[in-house]
Amino acid sequence: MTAVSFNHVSFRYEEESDWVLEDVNAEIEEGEWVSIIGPNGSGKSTLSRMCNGLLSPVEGEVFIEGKPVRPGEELALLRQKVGMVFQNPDHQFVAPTVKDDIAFGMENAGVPRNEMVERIEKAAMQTGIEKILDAEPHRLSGGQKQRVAIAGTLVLHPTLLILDEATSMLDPQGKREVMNILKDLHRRDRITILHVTHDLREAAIGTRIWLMRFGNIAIDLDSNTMLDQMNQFDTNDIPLPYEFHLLQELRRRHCKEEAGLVKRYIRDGIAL
Amino acid sequence: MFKHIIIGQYLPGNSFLHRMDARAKLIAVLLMIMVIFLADTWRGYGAVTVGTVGVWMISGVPLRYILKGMYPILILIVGTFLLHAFLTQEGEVIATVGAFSVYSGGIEQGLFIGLRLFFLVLVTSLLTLTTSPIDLTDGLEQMLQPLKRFGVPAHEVALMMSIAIRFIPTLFQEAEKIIKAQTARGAKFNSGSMKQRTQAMISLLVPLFIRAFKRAEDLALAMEARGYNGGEKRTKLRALTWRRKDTIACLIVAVSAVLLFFFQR
Repeated sequence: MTAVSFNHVSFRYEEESDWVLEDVNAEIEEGEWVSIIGPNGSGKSTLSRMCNGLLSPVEGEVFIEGKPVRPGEELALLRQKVGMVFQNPDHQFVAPTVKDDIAFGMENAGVPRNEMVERIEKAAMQTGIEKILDAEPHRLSGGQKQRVAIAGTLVLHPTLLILDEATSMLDPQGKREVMNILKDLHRRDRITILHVTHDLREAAIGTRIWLMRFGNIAIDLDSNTMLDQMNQFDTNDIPLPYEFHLLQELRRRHCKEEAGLVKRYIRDGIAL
Repeated sequence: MFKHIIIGQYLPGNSFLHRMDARAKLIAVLLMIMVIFLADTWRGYGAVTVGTVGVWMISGVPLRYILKGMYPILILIVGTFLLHAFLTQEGEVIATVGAFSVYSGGIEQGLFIGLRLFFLVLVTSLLTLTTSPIDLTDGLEQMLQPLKRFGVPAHEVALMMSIAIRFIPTLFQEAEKIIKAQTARGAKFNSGSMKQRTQAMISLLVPLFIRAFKRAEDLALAMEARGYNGGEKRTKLRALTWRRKDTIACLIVAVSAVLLFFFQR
């Protein structure tokens, strides 16, 4: 089934101003992990915010699992299905303790109390935060806070998880923690992932990669093909990390075996 | 600098007061405040003293915490005492200082008002010392619930309070960062003339406010993304449980209040 479908989507913040998105057409299948990269202002975040109705297209339409995203009562239900984690770990922590924050979405949805407790336990296991459930936000690291944010979406049993540059303010350790959780969620719980990022290393872990430029998806590749066509990123001002260069060089010298190793290394995200 | 900040003055513990329902404590404190205002004889104040000191004893709060809370209002207590002592003209003249005469009634009145202030602060700090701010907001929200039909936004007020509580430490951490950043740019927070320090404060406050607004905007977006749509059909993770001992505690306070009213005549 199609998880997300963008149908001739255009968007601008005000009339007269420039288009942020211009006639975007794309589909994400269930179980995919799409990474969106691209320079600032290319429309990455705007596109991701169309998926849960935080923004509505000026023209065109967005469908989630076949249903159009429209303002109204159904948005609340949609937002349970589409979890979203934002960039700044400190700007999305609502409640005074971890447990209360994870519960926030469920409280909004009217989940009964005893079920909340169960779901919190499960989500805490999935994200490895069992030990900090009673902690206050200012005593947590950035990585821990983002894991709490992910747990806060998981308790609503989402089918699609959107990360809007959720790793960009984290240290390497925090990034690794978050990416490992995403891998688990994608593999084990079959959650579709849409990951907005600046980091090609992170993007290579998913199954598909979109490069956005000037409000449109300029390049749409599956991640294996992407490693064969890296030049496309280089020419589009996305600098290649070291191991990507290494892979290119190994291929140039026809070192097949070594190239295969490096490729696995990149795809598994060991470099993170 | 702000690393070990405690929000409010909550002192975690396991005394009877700590384990009481926040609503029961709120009701009891309201009753006690009424009693404190009703007392106006020495016998009345004696009873109030016995009562509040008794409550303090079961709270398990060390004396120094109480005294620390009293310190800021000490001036107020002394000030009101002096005002009453000098300006009330009842009873006999005890002493004359310059143009002022001190009457016995004035001394008595001053002592009463001073004691009244003292007990008010004691009772309310016992509430905040033994109740976590989250429980307090929850208790307030539920007690305001019946007023909803008169347009009191109970849920919104409670949410505002809990968000404020949650962000106090974050704002402190941010202030610390800004102070460092501005100090690196030559601002003087700890030295220099009064004028220089005031200017330094402005260089702290402006960025702090701008960041707070940005934060509020992001937070609103994040709340919306998590399906927040006001207080309608909301459930709560935190449940306050009203036990029998809460009823008993409130009743004891209420009965003592009535008794005191007759006893002090």
